[in-house]
Amino acid sequence: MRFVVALRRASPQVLLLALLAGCAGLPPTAPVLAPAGLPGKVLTVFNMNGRIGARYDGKGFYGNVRWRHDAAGDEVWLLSPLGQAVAQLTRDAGGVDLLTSDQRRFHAADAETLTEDVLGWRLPLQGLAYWVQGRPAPGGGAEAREATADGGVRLRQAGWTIELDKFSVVDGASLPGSVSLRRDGLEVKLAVERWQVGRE
Amino acid sequence: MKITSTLLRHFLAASCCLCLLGASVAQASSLDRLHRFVQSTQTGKSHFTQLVLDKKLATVQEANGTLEFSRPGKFRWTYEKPQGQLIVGDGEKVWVYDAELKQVTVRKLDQALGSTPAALLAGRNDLEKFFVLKDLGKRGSLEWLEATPKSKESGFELIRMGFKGDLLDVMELRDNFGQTTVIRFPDLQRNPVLSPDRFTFTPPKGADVIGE
Repeated sequence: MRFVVALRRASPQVLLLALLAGCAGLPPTAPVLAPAGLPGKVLTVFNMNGRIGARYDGKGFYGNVRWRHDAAGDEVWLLSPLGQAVAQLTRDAGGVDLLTSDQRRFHAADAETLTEDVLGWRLPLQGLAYWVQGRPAPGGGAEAREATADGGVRLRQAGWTIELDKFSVVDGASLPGSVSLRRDGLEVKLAVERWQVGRE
Repeated sequence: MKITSTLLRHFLAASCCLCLLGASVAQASSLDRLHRFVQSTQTGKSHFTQLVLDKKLATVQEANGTLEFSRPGKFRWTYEKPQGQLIVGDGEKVWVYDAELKQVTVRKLDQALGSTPAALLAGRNDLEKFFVLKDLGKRGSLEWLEATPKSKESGFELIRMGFKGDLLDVMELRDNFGQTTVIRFPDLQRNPVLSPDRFTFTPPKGADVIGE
């Protein structure tokens, strides 16, 4: 039932994705419904280029962002508009490392804790890889998923409200051009210039 | 055999002299070029292309737009790609605006400018205060100069500037992670008349303003 509702409210791109996924034919062992009862496969490898803005207590961050995600983890670069790296975040099975432009290295078990400690604002990297696909991350927090008035998607999970908008289809995957993450007076926004699905 | 080696030695010695001579001439010339450029260019305007290369020299970002500046401390980087990104230095503050994110970041100029590329282009005439300048001589058709920020907090390891004649043609900025940004100025105009309102910024209604 929930699947049907999600489909009915989904943007044309999401429907297209569902159709494409159907055409491609899922292997018989794959679950028909992925984690949140959504059609299609979870993308495990992608790259994103864009800009990022974070705002909290009248403070914040703004710059360019590069994000590479694969099965082994993530690499995120936060850059000034002229391209100079402000911080490099890498996540793998051993946890998360953050290297600042003065080449100081910090380590923590998860990205949210580390970015809050070092940058002053949280980047929920682990959930984000699922949320940008319009899916809740596996195993965590109460979740809700609904369509917004302007054709976007809103998710709620682990204290975050996630809004996705301006979808386009990239290699058969429907991905947002605009992402907003909110919790406790913090808002992190992404404006995506380019998605790339699969290896470069 | 002996003659050959003597000739070779002389040839090498002569080459070295030529190199040294070349270097010292170029040194005066390249530093002069920068100082002449700074002193003779009160305002400037150019299109620019911006390439960001990672450590392996793979292109990871391409951007372009228009740069305008008015010494001291006033500049405007208007990006056409990514569209809606704008950096304005009004002489006191630096405003960074992103139309799509509806976000404005503002910082005091001295904090923001100090030893950045903007200082090289739009700063006062006291470059040596913020940078150690070194001549790199002629490579290809350009005279190169290297500027190393004195402050560790600049975010740059070094900046290279390539001059064609007395005009700045390209800047290469290497960050502390080994990434390089290459900014080319294909049509730099010297001392165009620029309206003062190019160097003012008022946050648009509905935009979030952040002071760092």
